[in-house]
Amino acid sequence: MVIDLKRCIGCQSCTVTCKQENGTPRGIFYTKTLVKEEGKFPNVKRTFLPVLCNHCEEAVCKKVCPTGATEQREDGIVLVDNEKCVGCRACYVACPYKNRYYLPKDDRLKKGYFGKLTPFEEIKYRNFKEGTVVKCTFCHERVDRGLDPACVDVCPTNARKFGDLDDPKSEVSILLSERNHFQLLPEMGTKPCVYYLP
Amino acid sequence: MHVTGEEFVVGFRQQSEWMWLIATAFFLGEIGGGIFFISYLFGFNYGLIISLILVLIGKTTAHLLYLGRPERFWRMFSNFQSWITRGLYSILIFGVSGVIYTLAVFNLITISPGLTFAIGIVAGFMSIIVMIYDGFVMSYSPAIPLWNTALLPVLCVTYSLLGGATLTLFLVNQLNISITGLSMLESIEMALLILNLIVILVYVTTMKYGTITAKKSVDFLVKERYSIPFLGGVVVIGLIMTMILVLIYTSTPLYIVLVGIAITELIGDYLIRILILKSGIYAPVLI
Repeated sequence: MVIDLKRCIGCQSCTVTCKQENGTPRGIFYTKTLVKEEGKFPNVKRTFLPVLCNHCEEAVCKKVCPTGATEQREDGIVLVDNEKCVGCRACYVACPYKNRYYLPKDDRLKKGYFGKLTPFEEIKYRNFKEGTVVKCTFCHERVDRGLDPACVDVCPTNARKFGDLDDPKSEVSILLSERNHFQLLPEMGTKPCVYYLP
Repeated sequence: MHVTGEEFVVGFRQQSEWMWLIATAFFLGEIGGGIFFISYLFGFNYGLIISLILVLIGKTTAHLLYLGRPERFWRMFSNFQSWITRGLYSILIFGVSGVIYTLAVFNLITISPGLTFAIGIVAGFMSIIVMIYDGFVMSYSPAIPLWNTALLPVLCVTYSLLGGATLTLFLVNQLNISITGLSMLESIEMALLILNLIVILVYVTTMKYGTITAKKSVDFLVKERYSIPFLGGVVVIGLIMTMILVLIYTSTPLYIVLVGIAITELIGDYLIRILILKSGIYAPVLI
């Protein structure tokens, strides 16, 4: 994924759409847009930084997982199998980007957002298991159907682009070849697959 | 840049998942490993029992209580790339060999002396792995600079040995059992206290001159929110006061002083673990 920070306006559409698409419970955000404020009045600058699981090539979360619940598909997407996860949270602690969430044993899967599960929540919450770790899946079910992840689809400014980084003719590869870009915390050696265009 | 919680802002983020239960599990496991190793060296057989209880019951219970899905714990044996899995195997081998060795030295089972010796060596070696692997679990990931250092496994071992020596010294006197080399154990206790003080100083100093995130963690420990438990609890009570009490005990071996040594040392021993967990800070994703 490539995210153009010049285009991002911090509208949080991606955050909301991700919650709708994945039906994530309260307090869980597979993606969100962080804000960074710099400088002092009157010279103040705000930068918006959309973050999500980086689906790292050298995924440290996969290495530390004692059960093999964190797996990497051939296309690079990192997923958590909630049937294997024991909730030790080693991956959660090891992720330098803090883009994983632990689903605690509380009432959020029983009461949802409104005290009683809506029909939508009833269906979506079947994908979640208490006591396990959850994270962005790059909407792998959509990707398998040839669609873009929901956050990419909804972005009103087209700040997010999704594609095959191994294909030199893909839009993401062309963008990276034409413009300066950076990854988050490259010094961690995880080789994140989400790139940012400053 | 400030330390933030789960707010949608860029900043340092404090580790908040591994806290009391994990610290307790690490403490019990490492102390247990330390007691086994020291008791094995000094032939203090009751120490072996205490050690096995601490590791096999105390540590494993704390870990199981922490797991979100404890009924699936057996799955943790499956990824040998993970230090948690490696640690689990080491506990398993330590438990099996330790129990057999302990039963043999108490003459509850009969096996040849050669085999008993060999099993003792295996159990003694595995106790070292039990002491050290927590350090590798934490230092493996680069996410938290305070943990991502080779000094952390060293710190785990030195503190485990110190805790083991302290409790062995206490139990030997409490149970009124004579062992050979008791005076040497007192000297080892003092040497380990000095060694731990040096390791702590080196650890904090190294981190202070590391990345800005590591420096932030050190500030937490020595200047900001955890300075009182760290400087007061770990350094003054846990090490310096214990040293003074050990010096008093070597000249005046009073029981009350020995109790004081055990209490002060164990306070420092537990606090260092919880404080290192709490002071773990993630680097901001954007500087």
